[in-house]
Amino acid sequence: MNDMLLVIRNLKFQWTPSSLQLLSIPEFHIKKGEKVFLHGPSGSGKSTFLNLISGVLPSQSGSIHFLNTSLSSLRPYQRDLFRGDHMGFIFQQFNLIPYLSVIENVLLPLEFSSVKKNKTPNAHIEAQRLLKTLGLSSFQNSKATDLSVGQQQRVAVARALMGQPELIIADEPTSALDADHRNQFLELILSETQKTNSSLLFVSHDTSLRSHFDRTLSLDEDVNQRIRTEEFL
Amino acid sequence: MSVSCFLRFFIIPKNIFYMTLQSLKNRKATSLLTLLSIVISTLLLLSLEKVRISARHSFENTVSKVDLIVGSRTSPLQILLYSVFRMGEPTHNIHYKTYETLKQNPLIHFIIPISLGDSHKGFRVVGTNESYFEFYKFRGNQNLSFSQGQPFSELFEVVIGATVAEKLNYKMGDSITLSHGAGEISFQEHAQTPFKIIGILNKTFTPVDQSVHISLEAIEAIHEGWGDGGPPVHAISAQTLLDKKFKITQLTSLLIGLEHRTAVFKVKREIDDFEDEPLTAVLPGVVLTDLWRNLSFVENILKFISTIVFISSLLTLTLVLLSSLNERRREMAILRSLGAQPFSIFQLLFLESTLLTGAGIIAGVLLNNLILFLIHPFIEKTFGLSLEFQFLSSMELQLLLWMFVFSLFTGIIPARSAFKKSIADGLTVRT
Repeated sequence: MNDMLLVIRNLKFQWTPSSLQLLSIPEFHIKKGEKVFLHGPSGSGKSTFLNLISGVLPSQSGSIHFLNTSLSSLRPYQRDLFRGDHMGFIFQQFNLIPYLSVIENVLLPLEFSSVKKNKTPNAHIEAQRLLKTLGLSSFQNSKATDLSVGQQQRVAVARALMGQPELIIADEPTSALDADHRNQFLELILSETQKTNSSLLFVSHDTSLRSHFDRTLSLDEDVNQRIRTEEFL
Repeated sequence: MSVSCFLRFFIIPKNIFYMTLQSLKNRKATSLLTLLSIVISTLLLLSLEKVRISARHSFENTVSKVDLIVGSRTSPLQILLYSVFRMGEPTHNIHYKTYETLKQNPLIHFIIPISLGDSHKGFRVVGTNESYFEFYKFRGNQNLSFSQGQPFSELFEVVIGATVAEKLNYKMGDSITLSHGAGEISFQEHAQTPFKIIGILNKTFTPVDQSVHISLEAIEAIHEGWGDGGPPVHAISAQTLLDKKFKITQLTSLLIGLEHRTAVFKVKREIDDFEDEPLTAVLPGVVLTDLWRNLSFVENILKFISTIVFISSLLTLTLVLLSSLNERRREMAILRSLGAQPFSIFQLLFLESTLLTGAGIIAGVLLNNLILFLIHPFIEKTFGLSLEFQFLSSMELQLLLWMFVFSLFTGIIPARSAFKKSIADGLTVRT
């Protein structure tokens, strides 16, 4: 149990009591350091699933344990703090706060998490190191909006890695990138999460990427078999 | 909820403050224009308030330390208007004997006799005596003072107010003649009795500035030989008049100062019940306040307009923030993913509007004082209004606080909307 990062049991979710059940997950887990690929068609509940495991949405039934802490036992503001302390996010695009510089964007997670702050005593140096690793050291004082989409995604990786969170959630981060950049990006995120031993939950439509991950999960239309395949590579 | 949780709601973290500043900086043009509209409306509100207070003080202090104004039996307002503001016409005069009787009253400290009825190029002539220059006070405790010369001592000497000297370009020693009646154009000129300007008073910003002062004897002298309201058939020379002793018979009104203000109602009653002739004693402060209240609809309209301007500025700010919310939903989702609570999003938007209004109000106050400092000589010269210098009066401070509190309430609208959107969106913005 100690190597488990996220454990979900009997999780069910529907938006209103009269609406169709969107999610029904009997059991799901992510181990520490594990790289998991999640795919599913539009409307299959991927975003809802991410909002549930990150504590944005409260679970209606079942349990979500993250680092042995039950998210449902936390108050909403405690779930927000918990998310800031233990997770990092990379979105599809528009990942950065437009009015902050690149380095300010990278340092931003530490402003909302004392845990990450304590883990990173030399925050500025660490941010510069990450940007250098990602080939962005010359852009650290640029405005986020001055960067290309690919560069912005790399900055988002640096930000997600800042403070060494236990789980990095990447929500379709490659869909705005061309094939070359997509592969580069994938290699980058996998190697960087490997270095920090962070788990990675990578959401994508593109099933050709699944071979890079430890495990693949699929959310399909059938709520009764919400997690249809679970294959270990 | 623990104390620390409770405090979290009211303490704005450094990061939110920094992000707010950066966000405002990022939208420079919109922020500056919104700021400008708040500065202008603050400036407008404060300037109007300053002018209103100064005008009121100026009005209420036209005459001070005078406890009663006495005239023939008529309305208190009319007595005040002709005695203090030199407006309108007195209906009846009072006997000089009455003045002499009242002077014997031990409760009375001084009496300034006033005799009206003539003019000089539209400026009222005030017949009076030396007590006018000794006891007439304005704006609290200020005495009349001379910029040049001294009070009249000879029959055909005149002391003019500052505005008269300025407008008619008169100098010491100039000779002027007076006209019968109060109008600007008169067909009956006291041409045979020219007066020499012996004194020019300093500016008081009261009707004194627009008055021409001569002695009570001079009033009698220039009307010597007048009967049935017309001039004598054969003009009497000034030299003849100089050789004559004049007995004053009538006055228009009396400005009375008491030994103790506590006796004001007793003396008023005595005068109102005066047996020798019907008199009215007026409490100038009361009538001035009543008069101002009657005129205050204009200031209320101005106040209303400037309030509307301020409200429209705040609504503009609210609108700007609300309209930017949609494009900022992504930003909110990012912040939420980093651990920001919906309340932090609320704080971010709320702080933006608060900073803009706060900065706008402060800039408005500074600009208002700077402008007043620069233009007050012009205002005084052009409108005769002395603007009182005080960085922020308690009334203005109260006004600003109300403005700020109101702005806080309007700031809640976009902040609340952002708060709700951030909860609804979570980490995913649905467009």
